[in-house]
Amino acid sequence: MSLVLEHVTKVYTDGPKEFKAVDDISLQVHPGEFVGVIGPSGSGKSTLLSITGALLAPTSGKVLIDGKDAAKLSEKALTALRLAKIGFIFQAAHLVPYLKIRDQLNVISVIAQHTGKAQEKHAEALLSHFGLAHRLDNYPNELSGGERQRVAIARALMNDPKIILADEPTASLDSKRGRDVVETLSKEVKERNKVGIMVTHDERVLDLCDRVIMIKDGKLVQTEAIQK
Amino acid sequence: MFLAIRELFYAKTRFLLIGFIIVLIASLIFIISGLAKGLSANNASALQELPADYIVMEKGADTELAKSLVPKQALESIQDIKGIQDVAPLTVRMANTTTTSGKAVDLALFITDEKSMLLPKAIQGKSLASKKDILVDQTIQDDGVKLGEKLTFADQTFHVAGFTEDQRYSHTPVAYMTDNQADKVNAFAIKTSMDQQQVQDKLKNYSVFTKKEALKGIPSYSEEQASLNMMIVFLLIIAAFVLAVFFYVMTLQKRGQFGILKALGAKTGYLIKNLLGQVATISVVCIAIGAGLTYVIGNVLPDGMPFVISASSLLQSSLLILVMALLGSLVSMFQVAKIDPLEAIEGGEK
Repeated sequence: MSLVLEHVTKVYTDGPKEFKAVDDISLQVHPGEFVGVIGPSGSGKSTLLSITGALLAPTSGKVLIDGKDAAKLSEKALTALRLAKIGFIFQAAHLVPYLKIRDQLNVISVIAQHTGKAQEKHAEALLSHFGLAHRLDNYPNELSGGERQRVAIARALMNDPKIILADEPTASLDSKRGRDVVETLSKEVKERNKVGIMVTHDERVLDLCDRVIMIKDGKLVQTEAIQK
Repeated sequence: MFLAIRELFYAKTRFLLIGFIIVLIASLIFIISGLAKGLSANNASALQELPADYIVMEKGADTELAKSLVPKQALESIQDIKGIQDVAPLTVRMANTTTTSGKAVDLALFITDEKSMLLPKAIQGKSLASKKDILVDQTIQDDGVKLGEKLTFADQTFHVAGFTEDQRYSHTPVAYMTDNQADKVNAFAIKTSMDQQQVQDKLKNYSVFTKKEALKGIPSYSEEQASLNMMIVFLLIIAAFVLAVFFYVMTLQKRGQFGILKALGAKTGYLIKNLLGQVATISVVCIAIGAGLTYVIGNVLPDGMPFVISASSLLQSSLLILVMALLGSLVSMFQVAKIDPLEAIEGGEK
C-alpha cells in the first residue's frame, strides 16, 4: 500500500483573487520510505500535508490512500479514515494536558471504540519502546519537550496506521533533541514499513530522510534522493 | 466520558469553583420553592384540601368567594341534578377575637351545614356537636388557644371543640362552624365525576370554578406566588447562563485540543458527548449537594416560617435545573461542532 497524489491542486479565493496554495502536485510515497518536505513559509507545505492527511479536500486531483480516493469521501468517512490509516505528529507535540501519558495513547483506543486489556498493554509497550516506561503516570507538563514529542510519536503509532505525517516535529526542540526525535521517526517508519512524510524547516535533519522534496509557491520544484 | 472524567479530576479547582456557584443557585431555588409552597399552604390550604371538585359561585363572580352570593335554598335543586354526588353550602367570613389569655387573633370562618362533606376531621378533640362548636386549625394553638376554650366573635360565643390540620385561608387559621342562618351563602361546593364544562352546562345561572381557579380569588395569593415564581424562573435562567459562559470559555480555551482530537479521528459526536457528560456530572452532583443543604436549612428554620418541601417538588426543581444546565451548554456544543481539525496542523501558519 502506498500513498499517491495525482495532480493535486488547492485553490483559495480571496475576494476576486484566486490563490493556488498547492499547484498541480503529483507524488508517490512507498511503504518504508521517509520523505522530507521543505520550502519557505507560505509555500503550501502545510496545506499539502493537510490534504495528504485527509484533513482538507483538494480543489482538484486525487489523493489515493490504499487505492481509495480520499478526495471524494464525506467528512464522516474522512474522520474514520484518519483514525484508521493516519498517524499525526504535530508541531508542539499537542498532547491533551489533562491526560496521563498512558491515557494519551489509550484515548485513541477509546475514540476507535476498541478498548481492552490488550490495547492498554499495547500502549504501555509502545511507550516503553520509546523509553517512557517510567513516565506512564505523569502529565505532559511534567515531561521534557523531547519526551513529549516521543509520546506524540507513540500516539501516532497507537492504531498501527499506514501513514505517518509529521508537521515540523522539531519546531519546539533544540537541535540535539530534534535530531533524536527525527531519528526515532525515521527508524520507526522503516521498521514498521509505514509511509512517512515530514514537513520541516530544519535542514540539519534532512539527511535522515530517504527523499527530500521542495515546494515553492505551491509547486513541487525539486526532488532529491539522499545518498547514504 | 473517558475525557470528561479525567479533565474533572485534573482541573479540580476550576470545576470546584463553578460547582460552588451551582450548589448555591440550586439551594436558593429549592429554598424559594419551599417558601412558595409554604406560603401557598399557609394562605390557601383550606381551599386546596377542600373535599370537593368544583366551587359554584354567583354568575359573573370573579373567583373571589367573599364577593359571591347565592341563595341557600338552591341547594336542593342542585343536589337533585343527575351526576352530582354531593353538594354543601359554604360561606367565608373573616373575624377577629380575643383569646382568654388576652391575645387578639384573626380567624377565617368557614360556615357550612351539619351534614356537610366539607367538615374536616378533628385531629384533636371532637367533631362538631352543636351550632356553638367550632373546629379550628391547629396553628391557632401558637396563639395560646386551647381545646374547650370559649371564643367570642360576631356577638356570639363559640366553643373550640377540636383542632384540624391543613386548614388555613388568607394566612389565618380556619374555624369551621355550622351556625348557618343566612338566606344567602357565598358558594356551593360540589362533588361530581362530570367535568367542569358539563357542570357549567347544568348550572347555567352560576359560575363553576375549579379549586385552582378559586385560589386566585384569595386576596394576595396570585401576587405572592407570582413574585416567588418569578425569582425561581430568574434563578433557573441565571444557572443556565453561568454554566453556558463557563463552558463556553472553557471550550474556547480548548479549541486547539479539540482540533487535535478531531485530527486524530475523534468524531464531533464523541466530543459533544464528553462535554454534555461533564455538564451533567457537575449539575447532578451540585444539585444533590444543594438538596442536602436545603434539607438542613429547612430543619433549622424557625417554626413560624412557612416552608414546605417535598421529595416530588425537589425532584421537579432538580430536573428543571438539569435541563437548564444542558440548555446552557448548547452554545459550547455548536462551538465544538464548528472546530476544524485543520487548526491542529496550521498552528501558527495562516
